This record gives sequence, structure tokens and C-alpha cells, in this order.
Amino acid sequence: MPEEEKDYYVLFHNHTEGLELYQYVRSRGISVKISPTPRVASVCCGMSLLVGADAIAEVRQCIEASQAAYDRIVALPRQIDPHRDKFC
Amino acid sequence: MADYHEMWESLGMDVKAHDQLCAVLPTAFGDTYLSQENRPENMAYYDFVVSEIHGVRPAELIEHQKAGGKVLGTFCLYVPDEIVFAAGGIATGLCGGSQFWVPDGEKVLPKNTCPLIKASVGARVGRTCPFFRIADMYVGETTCDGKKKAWEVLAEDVPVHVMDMPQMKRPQDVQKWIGEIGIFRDVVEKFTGNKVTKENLQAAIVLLNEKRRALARVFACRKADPVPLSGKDALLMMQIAFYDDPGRCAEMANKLADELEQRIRDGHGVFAKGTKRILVTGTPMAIPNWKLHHLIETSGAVVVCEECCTGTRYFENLVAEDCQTIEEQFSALAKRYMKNNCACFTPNQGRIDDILRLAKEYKADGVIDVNLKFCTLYDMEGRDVERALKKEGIPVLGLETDYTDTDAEQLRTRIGAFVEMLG
Repeated sequence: MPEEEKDYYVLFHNHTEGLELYQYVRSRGISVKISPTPRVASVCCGMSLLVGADAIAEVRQCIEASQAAYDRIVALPRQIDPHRDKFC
Repeated sequence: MADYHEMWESLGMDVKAHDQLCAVLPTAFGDTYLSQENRPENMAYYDFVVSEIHGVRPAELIEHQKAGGKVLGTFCLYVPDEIVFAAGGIATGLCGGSQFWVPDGEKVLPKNTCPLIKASVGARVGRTCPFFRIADMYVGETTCDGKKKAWEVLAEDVPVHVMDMPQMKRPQDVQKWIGEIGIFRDVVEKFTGNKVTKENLQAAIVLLNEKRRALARVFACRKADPVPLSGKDALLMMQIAFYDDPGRCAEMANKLADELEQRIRDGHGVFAKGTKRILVTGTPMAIPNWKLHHLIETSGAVVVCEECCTGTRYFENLVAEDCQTIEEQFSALAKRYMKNNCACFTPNQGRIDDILRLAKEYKADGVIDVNLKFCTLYDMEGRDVERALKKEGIPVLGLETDYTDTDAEQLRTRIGAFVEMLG
């Protein structure tokens, strides 16, 4: 799978961990989004951080620098398609 | 990962069935919301709320119950939340906006009932929504025939109090509504064990007015061109306002408004200047009903305002804060709530006036009048809406839809043609 067609999801044990890393990463101007965790990444609900392929290296550095707690990082083919027209 | 299964099981939910909703929500939210570019930073809060939609807020409500508090579920803008909060309770919106809940609703209601009612009843009887399980009491109202009968079904399973809505707006109808609010106060006092006093009612009036002011600030920013916030994001903020803690709701909406006002000063928009601007009017869009807004905003236009229960009606008009007695406060509540212009009233010229006013205020290039299938009231009122808009030279498109995906492509074609026609 080409890197540009991939997205990364940072998964957490709880939302407190997720919000802490989100704030740390955003304070450094790195582009990430809070996302519901895709089912293919985990059967548990809750927030994850959606990171593009161009930013994942920086996010990994942030995790290391801040010693942020997290569960794991999952690489997935791009999940988002605005023209899928599947609502819930 | 956050695991709420234990909490859901303790609520008596059908966790296996609920899991199907958990499986599709991330995809729908990603496609609809996370596909947008250049969103305001402060939308992250709302993304977080959706990501934890059946976890964080339900857990807060359960904590409130453990401390002896009550949670009352509501379905309509006419129910005065102030009474609930004054008595130390929490009011939370319960309307269902997902097709997922409709089949369970159809087990106990006729199929030709509007999807909002079917989904709301389905969420309770199917035991697939924590909010519907947590609420200690439901507060219904007589805004339409479908709802009136739905309360009878729900009352077999959960305590329900029904407020008898006036159908007209004469002075005696406002008086009647003051009486209904009084009856509601008595019910809430008995249920919570707490008295509604002038002081705690004043605090609740101020609390909810602050929420209305904050939501109004965000909406005011949508009058700018380029518009600094998508219609989808504004809709999400409104949907969450129905069940979030009101103080936090105001705080987060004010933060968003701060950012939007800065964007306007910087000339920074989420759509290019000159993008065709749509006012949406009609039936409410309960969470997670994002279909229409998504279709409009992926068809070359932007939604700049919603004249509906999940739009301006929710925050326009404040309750007077300078009342000297509790009787005056009740009168102020009734007057404020009776200013809402729902299609359940006859006549309902106020709604037509609102649509025309908002179309001008928000500089709408066109209006989309949307009707949830089987909502007779809004469907019938569509004729007057169309006539008034055409008289003013404002293009209008009437649409009927439900929560399914099946008409998405057809709607996209019609919306696309409408936007193209706007020039």
C-alpha cells in the first residue's frame, strides 16, 4: 500500500491519555484529528488520534519526548470517503 | 481503548445489538466530518464528544444519579429545562437521529410514522442507547399525533410525564402554558425531592440563557462571507447542545465563537468567498442525522443557517432575568417558549416571518425546506413556506427524506441542480 494512501490511528487505554497527547501534539503545530476509533482498528469504542502519513514520524517523536501513555498505533488504508454516502 | 461494555450491561442494554451502531458510527463520522479541510481548532471538542458519545456523558449522568440526582429525558424545545435544573436534576435530549433504531421502533409503531419518533421509541425498546436507559423519567409533549401515541407506548416501560401543548398562540394559550409549566414543576419537585424556588430558578434561567447566548454567537459568525464554519459543524454543535452539560456547552461554544470571530477578522473561511449559501428549514435533525447537510456541502454549497429545532429555535429569545417573583418567572418562561414557531401551531405565520428574516440576515442564496417522511405538519406547511419565499424572489427547494441511505444519490442530484440554478 503506498504511504500516501495510508492513515495512522493512535489508540489509547482511555480518553484522558488521548486528550493529553492531542494537546501536546497540537501545541507543536502538528496536524492531527480526534476520531472515533475505526472498527477495523479495535472492537472497543472511544477516541483515537487520526494522523496522516506525513505527520506520523513527528507524532512518534512527540510520544517519545512526552512519554505519553497510549495503547498502540495502527496503520490502515484511508478509511475516509466523503462520497460513500453511508450514514448511520 | 475505553471499554464501556460493563457500564452498558449495567444499564440493561442489548450490548450485542448496540455494537452494530458502534461499528458504523466511526465510518459515518469520518466520511462526514473528518473529510472536511480547514476546520476550526475548537471543533476538536465536538469530535471528542462524538468519539466518546455513549461513554463520557452517560458516565457523568450515572455519577449524578449515584449522588442522588435525577435525569429527565426530553424530546422537544417546548419543555422548559430550567425547571429540571432548578430542582437539581439534569435534562438531556433524547431524540433519535439514526436509521439503526428505526426497525425496533417499527415493532411497536406503524411504519408510516416519522423516523424521528420511530428511532426514539426504537432506542428505548431495543435497549440500544445508554441515554434512553439512564433517564429516570421521560418528558413528552403534545406537538404531534405520532408523539402523543408514542408516549403511551413508552409509558409501559418508563415513567413519562406529558406536557399538554397549546395549539394556538392567543393570550389564553400563553396562560395555559404557564399552568402546564406549573404542573411540570409539581411533578419535578415530587420526582427529585427538591423544591423549585425563586433563587434556584433564577440560577437555572441565567445558566440556560448563557448557553443560548453562546450558541447565538456562533450562529452570528455564519453570516460572514467567506463563512468561517461549515453547516455540518454548526449542526454538530447544536446536536450536542441538547445533551451536554449546559455550562460546558456555553463555554465550548464561546471558545468556538472566539475563534470564528478571529477568522472573520482574518478573512479566513472554510468555503471560498461567494460559495452559494443555503438556509435549511423544516423538521429537526437529531444526532447523528447529518445526511442533508453533508449532501449540500459536497454539492458546491454551504449551509449558513438552520431554521428548525436543531437550529435557531433552540437559542433565539431569552427568558427575562429581571423577574421579582416566582410567578413572574413562570410567566417569563411561558412567554419565551411560546415564541418558538413550530408547525404544530395554527396559524403559524411566525415561522414564515422567521424564515424570511433569517434568509436575509444570513444572506442565503436559496432555501431548502426539508421534511422527514410522514411529518404531516411540516409537509403541509411547506406550501406556505414555498409561496412566501417565491413572493420574495428567494429560490426554494422542497425535499422529503428519512434516515436511510437509499435516496442519497437522488437527493444529491436534486440539490446539485438547485445549487447550479442559483447561478
